Parts: sequence; structure tokens; C-alpha cells
Amino acid sequence: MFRTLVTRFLLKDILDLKVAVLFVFCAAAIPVGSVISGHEYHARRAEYQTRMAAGDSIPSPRPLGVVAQGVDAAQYGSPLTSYVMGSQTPDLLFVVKVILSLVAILMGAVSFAEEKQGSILKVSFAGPLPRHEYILAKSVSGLVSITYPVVVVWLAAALVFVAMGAPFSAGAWIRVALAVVFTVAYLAVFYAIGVLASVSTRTGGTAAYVAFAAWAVLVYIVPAGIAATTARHIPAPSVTQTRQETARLREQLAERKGGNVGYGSDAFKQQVRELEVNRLNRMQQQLHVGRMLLVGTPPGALVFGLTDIADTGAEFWLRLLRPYALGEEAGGSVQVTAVDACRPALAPLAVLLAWVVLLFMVTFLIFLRQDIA
Amino acid sequence: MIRAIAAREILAHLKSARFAIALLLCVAVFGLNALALRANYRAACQDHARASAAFQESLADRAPIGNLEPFVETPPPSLRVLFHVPREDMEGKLTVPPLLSLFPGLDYAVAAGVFLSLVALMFGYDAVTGERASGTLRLLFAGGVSRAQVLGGKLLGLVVVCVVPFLLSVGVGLLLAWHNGVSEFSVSDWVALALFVTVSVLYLTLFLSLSLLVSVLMPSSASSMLVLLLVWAGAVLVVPNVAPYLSAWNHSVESTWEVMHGMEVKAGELQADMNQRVQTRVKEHGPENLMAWLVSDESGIMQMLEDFLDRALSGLQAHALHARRRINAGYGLSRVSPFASFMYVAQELGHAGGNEMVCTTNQVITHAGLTAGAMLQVLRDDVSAGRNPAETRDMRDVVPRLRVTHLSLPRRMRNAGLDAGLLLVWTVALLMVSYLAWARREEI
Repeated sequence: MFRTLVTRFLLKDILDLKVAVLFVFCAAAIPVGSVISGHEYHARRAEYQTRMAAGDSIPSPRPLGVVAQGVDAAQYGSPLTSYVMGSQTPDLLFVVKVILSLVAILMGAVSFAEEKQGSILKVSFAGPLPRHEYILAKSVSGLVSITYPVVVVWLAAALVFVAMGAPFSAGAWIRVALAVVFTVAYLAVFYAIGVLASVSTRTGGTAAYVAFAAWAVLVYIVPAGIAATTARHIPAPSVTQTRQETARLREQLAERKGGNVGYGSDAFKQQVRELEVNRLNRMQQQLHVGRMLLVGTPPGALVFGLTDIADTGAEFWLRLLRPYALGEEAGGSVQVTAVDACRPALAPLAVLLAWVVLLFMVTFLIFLRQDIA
Repeated sequence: MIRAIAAREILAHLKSARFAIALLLCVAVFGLNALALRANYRAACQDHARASAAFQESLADRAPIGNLEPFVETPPPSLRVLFHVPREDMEGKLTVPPLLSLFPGLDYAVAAGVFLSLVALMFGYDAVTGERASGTLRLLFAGGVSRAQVLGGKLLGLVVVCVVPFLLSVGVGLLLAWHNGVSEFSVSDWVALALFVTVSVLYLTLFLSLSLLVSVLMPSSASSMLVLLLVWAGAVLVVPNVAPYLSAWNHSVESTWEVMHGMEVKAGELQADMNQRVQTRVKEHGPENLMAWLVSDESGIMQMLEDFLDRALSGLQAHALHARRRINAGYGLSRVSPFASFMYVAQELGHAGGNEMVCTTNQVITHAGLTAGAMLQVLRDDVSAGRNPAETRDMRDVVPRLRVTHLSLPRRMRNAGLDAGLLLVWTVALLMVSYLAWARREEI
């Protein structure tokens, strides 16, 4: 019975307008985002080469920044583009986090409500159809329906990157595979939230409305709120403050030595370095606490996971950018192995999977106890 | 009749779960966000006050030689408590903490642009399809009510229902931000804020008109919702984020690092040339009267410095001009989406638009030229008076103060006028198309 149900739902979903919409979104958004991200990567690469030639041994831009730009953008690029509406780079992280999650949650929201309104459920359960098999089959077919367009278009996007000349090694393909798993897990969370809304409400309209609100809160309000609260409680000195402190130190030194002083003295350099170390330490503390809090939310888990995989996240910042800012080592083309990059991403992936399991369990319980008649 | 339909719509929605959710969402977005924005603004003001004091202190005892970075003495405009500049970090050197790079916050312009359009679609997607499914539409038409009256009444009612949570939440946000920034609002700030609210209501009406059009055309609420979702994602998420990049391809601008690095290289060449000349002079005539020779026309060094300054300033001005063209091109392509027009208006009104940034940059560049000219004059005076230019002194009266003039409200309104007009045209066009589409459709 379970297999028959899955086949039936799957066929219905594949031929359905909703899945067609998801496919159109994926087919349009992911390649467009890929081309733009590829272009941005080339711009960063060109700037990197110019800077290296000028003696500024900055860490090289990460090829998988085309998937998730992360903090890589803080180091390169022409920031003037960002003046236009504060626009975000439409990298794949943005496409998945914001656009595809909205489609997934809406697909979940209308999955049961349509059948409730059309009294199909009442007719279905008039026979000896077990409820748990019904909802399990419905959930499995829904998950498969959102997975296949995403996987197909991800592969197409990866081919676009290769065609645009992004240096993809074997390790990079392992990372891309893990990024696909992340995408599917993230979309499954939003699909599950949609299904939960659909099961818990009476009409499709109410379910869609509740799902929309949940999406807005989860994607926009909660992550920004947590990040702002963390930054407020663990403030990092701004660059202006650090510069002022440096100027104050310089004046103190000038007073002590009576005017014309060489600022190249080791003591002075050490004091200036301590100021920068303090600023970076506070930023690091902020990042650790923020990560601990945010990784529990689906968008937080996705952002940290994908940026870890792409070497453009917190780990990238700690390993490469921080030492570079302190002048401890030359940046250049530092290689991070795929295993090292993927290891910190496993915890966020586990969080996403836990969300999926939890949400489906709650949905099953509500559905099993619900009075359909 | 329009009033009766609007009243019915309002009463039906005010008691619904939809209204409660919209109210909670708006309060969460505008109210709670005001707390984060207030903290950012307070930090920026404190930072500025400290920097200002330190700058004046350093000017009180410094020599007329050496590098002097321009300092904007005008504090951030009060409206920045609600609207922040998209990206103030122009150096790209880890100046923004990584946590905030990964999870940027929302200001009132983005919050209104994203959430008001969503709220409008949520209320309007089943405005006609719902009535059609329940059969009440046929009853209305049987009673002699025209399609224009239904459309007008529905729109009026929905606008009132959506405006209530928006105004309440903006009010809550202003109260929360009162102690920092908002309490210092000038009359023009309040007028700008009122204009922002008005344009937001227009933007809301636009999306309600869109949802009415789709609701008229679609057979069911579910398909109406899907089509609206597609249009919304395209207008709010795709076009505004893609268009600036498309424009960047045609209007490439050197990055700030490249411009500054180019100047550093030229300054290095200038320094080498000057050293060469000084060495030759010392070799030929010894170190006597070296300072007098340096500022004389014979050495040509002052002329070289002035030429360098002229070239550097023209380079920076050209860079700012290219940047402005690029910003305008980005907006030009984005205007296909009403979201982009709304953001342009909101940011202009909130002292956070691209024009404001370019205007400030131009003033900083001009000021840098004035400061360098004043310093060179002091150097000349020192040499002619036989004073050592490396000697420190009070230079607060010598260095001109950089008090940036922000764009006035009429100027910002003129800048935003075209886009506000576009929003109005979009709204009227959508309503007209809705009416025409419905008039040709059978409702039996």
C-alpha cells in the first residue's frame, strides 16, 4: 500500500503546477546566480593578482566563493556595487536560503490543505487506509519532488562554473556534493514546516498565510536579530577606534622622545599590534557566540555550513584572513583540504536533519490525532 | 456602495487570524528592528564624537608636513537611526565583523520593501477568487453592484486593513528609538519620514492592485497564490539583486584599493624624483639654504607637488563620477521592478541613497584639495620666515573644517520624484488592467 501511495503522489506531484514552478525557479535562479557569482569570482581573482604583484600578499579568493561568497567579499571587490539598494550577491547561498525556501514552504503548505478542502481525505480514510502510511507516503513523495529539480539544476550550475574557468579540483567536487546535500536538507526543513502548517490549519489560504509568516520570521527576522543582539553584547572596537588609539600611542611616543620619532620602533609596533589583536579577538568571540546561537536555526545552519564548505565562512576567516590582518604570514594560495573544510559543516548538517525529523514527527502526531471526518 | 464593500472587507479581515499574524509580523520587523538600529546609530554617534575630539586634539599640536586624512566633522544625520547606508565599508579590510557580514541587519527601507509587499499579497491573493468560490460574487452582481464598485471597495478595504499594522508598528518602532536619534529629528526629518510612510502606503497599494489583478484572472486561490509568489520573488528578490551586476558589466569602476594603490605608486615616484633632485643639489652646492631652495621656483618641487595634488584630485573626482554613473545604471535596469523604485525613494528620503554618498565623497575630495593647498602655503611661509617646518604648532585655524552638507529635503524629493511617479503609474495601470480584464470575463 505504501509503495502504491508513494507512486501515486509522486506522479501527481511531478505533473503538478507547483513542482513545475519550483523547476522554473531553479532553472532560472541557479544558473543566473552562477553566472553572476562566476563573474564576481573573476573580478576578485584579477584584483588578487594585481595586489600580489604590488606586494600585498593577500589570501587568494576561494573558487567555491561562487557557491557562497561569505566573508570573501569583505576582502575584495568594488564595494560601490553594493550602494545600489544594498543588493546582495545572488550567489547560490542566497538563492537557496531565500528564494527556494519560499517555494518549498509553500509547496508543503498547500499539500494537505487542497485535499482537506476537496474532501479527498474523508473519502480516502473511509476505506481501510492506514493514516501513518498515507502521511509517510505523502511526505516522502513531497521530499523527492523538491529534491530532483534541485539536484538537476545544481549539476547544471556546476558545469557553468567549470565552463567559466573556476579551478575545480576533485576536492571541490566533494564539496559541491555536500553542498547539494545541504540544499536538500534545508529545503526539506522548509517543506516540513509547510506540511505542518497545512496539517494544522483548515484551509489552504490559512496554511499558506501561516507558512509565509513562518518563512519571513525564520529567514529574515531571527538570524538578523540574533546577530545584532550578539554584536550588541560582545561589541568589537571599530576601525576608527583602533586608529584613534594608534594615533594616541603615537602622540605619547612623540611626547616621550621630544618630537621627531621613528614609528618603526619595536615597542610601538607591538602596542599597535596588540590593539589590532584585541579588535580581532572581539570579532572572533562575537563569531563564536553568534555561531553557537545561530547554528540552531535553519538559515544559520545553512549559511555556516555552505560557507564552511566553500572556505568563505568563519573557518576561512580564522585560518586565513585573521593571520593576514595581523601580518603573521603571507596569504597567497593557501590550500585547505576538502576534509578539513567539510568537517565543521557536519554539525550544521546534523542540525538541519534533526529539524526535518522533529518537524515530521510533530506533523505525524498531529495528523494521526486529527479528526478528519 | 464602494464604502459598504470596503467596510465589509475591513470588518471581515480585522477579526481574522490573517490580520493578527500580519500585525505580529510588522511589529516584529519594524518594532524590534528599531532596537538594533538604535544601538547601531548610538555606536556610530559615539564613534564619531570620539574621533572628532581626537582629530581636534591632534590638530592642536602638529607640524604642517606629513599625511593628514580628511575627517568629516558633521555627525551622522538623525534619519540614519532608521535607514542605514548599504555599505559604509569602503576599504574592504575586515572592517565589518564577519558575523555581521554573514547576517546583515534590516533597516526600515528593506523591511518595508520586503514585508509590506508580502503582507499585501497575503491579504489580496483570494480577494476575488475567494468570493467566487463561495458564491458571494454572484449574489453581489445579482444585486446590481458593478465590477468597478467591487474592485474599488475591495482595494479601499484592503488598503485600510494593511495600513493599520504598518502604522502601528512604525509608531512602536519610533517610540523604541526615541531616546537615540528620533528625539533629535528636525522638521524636515519628520516631513521626510511622513513622505516615506506615504510612499510605503503607495507601494502597498501597488502590490494590492497586483494581487487583485491576479485574483481576477486566476480560477482558484491556490493558483493565484502561486502566480503571485512567482511575481513577488522575481520583483523583490531576483531583479533588484541581478540588475546591479548586469550594469556593472557595462560600467566597470576601479575598486577603492586600486585607486588608492595607484595614488600610492605615483606618490612613491614623486618622492623618488624629489630625493634625486635634493641629492643632486646637495652634491653641487652643499646643504646650505636647502629649505629655501626647496620652496623656490628653481627647484620646481613645489610645482611638482601641486601638479601631483591636482592629478590625484582629478583622478578621485573621475572615480566618483564613474561610480555615480554605475549606481544610476544599476537603478536604471532595476526599475523594471517596483521594489527597486521604492528602495530608491526610501533611501533618498532617509539620507542613505547613492546620490547622498556621492555628494559626500565629492565634498571630501574638494576638502582634501583645500587642506593640501593650505599646508603647502604654511610650508612656504615657514621657509620664508626661517622657521623649521617640522616644528609642531596649533593648526586648528589653518586646516579648513570639513562640514559636509547633506542633500536638502527638496533636492532629495526631486531625486526621488521619478521613482515615486513610477510607483503611481504602476498602481493605476494595474488597477485599469484589473478592471478591463474583469469586465471581459463572464461571472455566472
